[in-house]
Amino acid sequence: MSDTKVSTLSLAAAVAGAVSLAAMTIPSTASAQGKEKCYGVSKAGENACANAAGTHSCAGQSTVDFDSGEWKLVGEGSCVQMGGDLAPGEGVNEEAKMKAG
Amino acid sequence: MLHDLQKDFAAIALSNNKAALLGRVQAARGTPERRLGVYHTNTIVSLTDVLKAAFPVVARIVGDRFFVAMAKVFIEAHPPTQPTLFRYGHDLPKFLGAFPPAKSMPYLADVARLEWARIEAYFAEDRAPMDPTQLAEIAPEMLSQVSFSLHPALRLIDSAFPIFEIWAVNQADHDVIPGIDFGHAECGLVMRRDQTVVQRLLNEAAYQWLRSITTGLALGEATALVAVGSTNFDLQDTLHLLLAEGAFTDAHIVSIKN
Repeated sequence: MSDTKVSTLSLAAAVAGAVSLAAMTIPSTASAQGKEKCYGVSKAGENACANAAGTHSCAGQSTVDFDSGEWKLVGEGSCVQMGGDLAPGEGVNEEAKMKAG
Repeated sequence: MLHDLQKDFAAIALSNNKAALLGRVQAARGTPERRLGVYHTNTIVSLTDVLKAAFPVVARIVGDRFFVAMAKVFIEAHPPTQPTLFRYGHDLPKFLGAFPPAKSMPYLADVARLEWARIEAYFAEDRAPMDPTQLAEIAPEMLSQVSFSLHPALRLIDSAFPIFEIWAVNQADHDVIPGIDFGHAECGLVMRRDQTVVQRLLNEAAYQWLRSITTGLALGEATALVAVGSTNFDLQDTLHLLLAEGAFTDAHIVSIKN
């Protein structure tokens, strides 16, 4: 390891630089690859779904009833738009049927 | 016994197993079978909504009908184990990785991991980040032995797929979703600043350095390690980013191991 040891001098310089930058600026983006910043706001109450979820009417909701044909709908969302349906699986519906019983 | 009754009721709510209670329910507006079934359906619907709120990007990628059908399989296999719904969904990323109908979307499990890391960051304990000038007070010859305490909200995440990009283009304000090159890996961190969850892409070298730091390696060791295999590591820049994001809560000197 001795030949790969980082010199005290370079370490001290980097630390001093980082400290002075951190004291006055928001972070630079060189180490964050040249992409847009992925800031996202967690919406207030995003996870407070207990209330909302607990207030369903008792009329047996049909939304969970599905027939396995719906498994063909992989990519109904943004998946295909992104080009993300990489390898349309074979026998997906059969497996889904088995899984879903 | 109340306990038995509750257990039998839970069996209906979570797995639609009505056998034990069927004989004790009268037919009224609907058969006993149907009347009890309402509880199962409502449990599944409620928990599906919980998952949808926790994994909005996964939901957007697969579409509503797939998500609802998938959630039912997941909920029946992994019912809640704690009475706190905000912790429900921890097992979904792993489940998706092994879920045959999702096989054509190999990035999906990692996107779910990123969403779960955001949940964890959001609910992590509050802690004040360290004052960066604390480092300036350490003697230069001691700097290599500095070790950092991590903020409770800090999460590291890496994937063979561009999960940060996938996440970004699937936010609600993106109407048009661009094609993505799925052939590149991404790694980065998730943090929370005040009430806002923040995620930052890191380059491979910075990520490996941070990973070393999180395992307890001191500044000198971690830097030497990453400097060996990488030419694009910039300690000043990486440290600046982490200090500014509040990733560390403290810096202390560790004794040298001989």
